[in-house]
Amino acid sequence: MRIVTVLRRGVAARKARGLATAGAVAAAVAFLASSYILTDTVNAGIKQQADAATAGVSAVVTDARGFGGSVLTGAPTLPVSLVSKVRAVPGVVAAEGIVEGYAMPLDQHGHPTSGLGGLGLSIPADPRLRLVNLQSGSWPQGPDEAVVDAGTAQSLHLAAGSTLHVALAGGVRAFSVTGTVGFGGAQNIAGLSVVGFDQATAGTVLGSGDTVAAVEAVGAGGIDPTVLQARITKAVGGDYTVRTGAQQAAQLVTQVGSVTSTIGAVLQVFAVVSVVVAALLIANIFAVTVAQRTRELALLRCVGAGRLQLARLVLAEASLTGLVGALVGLPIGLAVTVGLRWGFDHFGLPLPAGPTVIAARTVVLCFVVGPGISIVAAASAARRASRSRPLAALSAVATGDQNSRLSWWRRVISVPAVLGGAALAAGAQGVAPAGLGSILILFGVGLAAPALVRPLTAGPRALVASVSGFCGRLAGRQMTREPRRVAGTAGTLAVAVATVSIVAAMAASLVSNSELDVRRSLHAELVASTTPGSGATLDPGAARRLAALPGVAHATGLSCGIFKAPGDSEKACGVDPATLSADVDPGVTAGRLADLAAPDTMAVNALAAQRDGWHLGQRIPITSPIGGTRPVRIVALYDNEQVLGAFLIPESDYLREYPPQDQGLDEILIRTEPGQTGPARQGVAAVLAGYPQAALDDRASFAVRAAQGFQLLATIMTALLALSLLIGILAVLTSLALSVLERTREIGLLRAVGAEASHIRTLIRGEALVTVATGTAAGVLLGLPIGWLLARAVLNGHLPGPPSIPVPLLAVVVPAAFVTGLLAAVAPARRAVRIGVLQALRAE
Amino acid sequence: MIAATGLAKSYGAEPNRVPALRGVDVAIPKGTFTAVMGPSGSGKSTLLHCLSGLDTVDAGTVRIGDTEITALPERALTRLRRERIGFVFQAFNLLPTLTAGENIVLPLELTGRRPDPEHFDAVVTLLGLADRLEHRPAQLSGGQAQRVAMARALITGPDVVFADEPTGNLDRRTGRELLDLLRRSVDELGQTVVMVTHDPAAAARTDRVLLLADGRVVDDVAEPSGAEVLRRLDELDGDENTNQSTDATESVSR
Repeated sequence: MRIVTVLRRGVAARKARGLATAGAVAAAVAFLASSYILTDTVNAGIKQQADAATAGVSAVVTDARGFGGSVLTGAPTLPVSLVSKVRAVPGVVAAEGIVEGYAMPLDQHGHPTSGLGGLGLSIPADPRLRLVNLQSGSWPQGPDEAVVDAGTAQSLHLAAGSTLHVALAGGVRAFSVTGTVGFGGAQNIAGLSVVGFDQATAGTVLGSGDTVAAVEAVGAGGIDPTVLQARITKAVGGDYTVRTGAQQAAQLVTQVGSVTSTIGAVLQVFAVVSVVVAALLIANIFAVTVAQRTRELALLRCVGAGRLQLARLVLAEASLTGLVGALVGLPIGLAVTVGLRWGFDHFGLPLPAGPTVIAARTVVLCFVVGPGISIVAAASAARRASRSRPLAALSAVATGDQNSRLSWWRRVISVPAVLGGAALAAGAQGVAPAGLGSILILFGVGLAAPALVRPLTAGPRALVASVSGFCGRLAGRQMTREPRRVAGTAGTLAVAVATVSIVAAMAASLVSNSELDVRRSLHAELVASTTPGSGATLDPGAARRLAALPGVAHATGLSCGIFKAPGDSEKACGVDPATLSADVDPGVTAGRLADLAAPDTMAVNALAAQRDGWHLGQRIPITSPIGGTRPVRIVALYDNEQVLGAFLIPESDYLREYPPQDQGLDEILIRTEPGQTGPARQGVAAVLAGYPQAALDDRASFAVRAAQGFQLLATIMTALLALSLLIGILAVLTSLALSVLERTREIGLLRAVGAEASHIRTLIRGEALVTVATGTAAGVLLGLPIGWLLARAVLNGHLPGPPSIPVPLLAVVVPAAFVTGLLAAVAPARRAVRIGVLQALRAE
Repeated sequence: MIAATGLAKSYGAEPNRVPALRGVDVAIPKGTFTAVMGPSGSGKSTLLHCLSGLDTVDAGTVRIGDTEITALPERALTRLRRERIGFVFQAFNLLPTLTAGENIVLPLELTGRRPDPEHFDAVVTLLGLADRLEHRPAQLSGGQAQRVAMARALITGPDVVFADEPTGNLDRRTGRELLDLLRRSVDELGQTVVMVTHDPAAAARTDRVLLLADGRVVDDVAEPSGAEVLRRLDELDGDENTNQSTDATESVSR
């Protein structure tokens, strides 16, 4: 008798169990696969577009200090004179400057068309230097013409000859569309809207003045690009970086890829969460089935099967189901990828287009992880199986009450793990130790779970009993009868709910912290602001026009740009300390803000200073785009960073050190005359109607807007985590289904003595509800404090406000968990109701 | 009064249909103790299941009191089982999560009714379970467990108790004790009991034995003795010309 035959028949005989295990693996594998497929697809798309953009270019000159900001080439910090220098290099047949800046196409209602950003681009006269290729129409010529990317043209129904309104730093301007462009075969790059102008127009409308972002050159036929690169490097000097076309394409991939790789990383985190939850589910299923098969396994021992053979039997079954799960999960992952792409498009974050890429690495990973998690999860069950005593086959063991007492090692480890984890997380100054502490807490609670089942389920049990009467009480009894199974099932759900709660609590705390920051610091009655990271700015003229309005006391524009400090790249804003205090109170904790009147000074947010290890009075060498590197003295530390940002330098320094494009305003703070806020707001809104990239807020709504970034991130993360909740619900379903199978006889008896179908349904539903309620409550109770601790750690221990409870999210997650829990009871309950009394009473 | 006329029941689908009952007429008066006997496969259990509404019939009628049960819908049948019929099975079939006392009142609890304390005390005292009420089934001996099952059958004051080989899992002494209790429930509480059994000694404690063979009632013995029952069973074997020893002879010779 081969043990394999036993295995094959065993699997065939327990289809439901096999399906549940394979289903859990499939879900985890699908998540894993989709995270890799999506990342690979996006990267391949970017690579293709980058190659197409730089196809004809032999060399590209950019700022050596690498000021980011623009998408394709960098910040416009290069003097126009550099172009003629490059043109003069022997072997260069053509060279032109490239200008980039903010230009957002508007739809017919005047709203921006892309959530990511709008890229304005100069179109070089030499066709070889053009980053984009024409897909229809002709190239723009003159100040009133523009081309637009094919994707935007399609969604706005534009063709050559249409009029397109574009939001620019200087306000809205109308252009006549002459054609549509793309990057190679793709309609746009990295999901951005693109508007192209001729060289002269680009310099004006994009506000780059006499600077360019890069100089592109084409070499004479036959010249090796690396030779040309060396010659140009020699000609322009060490302040500039010279790349070949291929190198520039690679640089572009890295630059754009860093944005999309964040999405990939987030997806991978969720893949890991779902793998953990699936492993818990599988461990639970195998623990239950090994207990259920005690007699069968013992019988095998009786007829001479070795311990190892039994362990191998269980492990082989696990790897087989894992393999099936991986086979099913991979195509599901592909479908999920398609769904995610649609989702991102739908939320205004289009990912780069391109064919779907399934790398060999992805496939291998799925087939390693699928059977892998099954085997790891089934290991403890296999150990238990190998310990089956032959005698157990002979004694008629019923599925008796499980012991809720913890083994000595669980007791020894769990308590210190929870206490140590809590101490670590509470005392942590960084995210890493806080994260470790959180994992320790979860681990310790998981070990102690069987002992916690009775006290934790007490509430739900009493509730179900009081609502459903006798059957509810019966359901409660079933819970305390098998504490390990309940711990496994509710624990799986609890982990899923806890991750959602952690994210929600963290986000809620960070959001409320940021809102508190604004409420404490903002004095200005009105704020006009652009979306951070979109590249959008307002020209300084806008602030002057606002200041001149009736009812407006004054309006202060805030310009911000990147600077480099040792090991760091941050955004500094130029301010005038004399007028600042009327608009904002940054909450100075050390030093004096007034000292910012002196040149070469800086005020820093206290938290940022702590993170960078800077202190008051210290001199920090910083590099700005124009002036080069100079030391600045830290004259003040302050608390509130939501309105002004984390780094402030004198306005006069800013004007000197930053190129024209960076002189655009990120924000305008508006003080109104006493009692004139209402009327003044109308005037301000009328002026800002010409700047669709700016949003107008009062103090309260600006506080909400400032926290919007966290809010959006939290929403996306929660939506993804909700999928791990599904696996948690699957755990409840399988556990119930197995439990019903095991208790066929008991349920048959209940029917024989007169229990109606509704009684049986109430019983199963009661069990589901108690499990789900306990799992959800445990998850929330664990997740919220951990989330707060993590938020505190993110803010280096400075969480000034009280811990906030993510009410709206919990208001969704908790009822959703309950409803799905009840739905999970539907199939097992139906099965239980259908059990025929006579067969049940005959069942073993 | 339980009355069945023309009961017929087959299992399986054509062409492999196996008839289990082929036209059975029985009338069981109230307050009597009836045994149903016969060789394996004679239809004893099927008859019991059909009389108690656990199984459907192909033809014929079953009346329990004034109720014709073969036409009842599932819900009404369930209510009938709960309120007017008691069951005792060979495998005691107690719910492991409930105490003995809770198992006894299970049929009442399902409808949220409180047991009548006097009746509860009477049943518990009759069955000698007063000091076992807080025990879980796992803590009870086989005899005690079967007495709990019997108490559960009696607690509703049913029209009839059906017992399917109630002594099958018990040793001889406890089996005898249980039969005493069934006998007393008939004599002292006026209960009607119908019992399927293989054991002529058990049958001897009843008022009447119905002998089944091949799905038909072939004999009806009033006031049976063990020897009489054994003789009739042997006759039955002789009729069928089988040389195999029946369960019944085994049981007596043991």
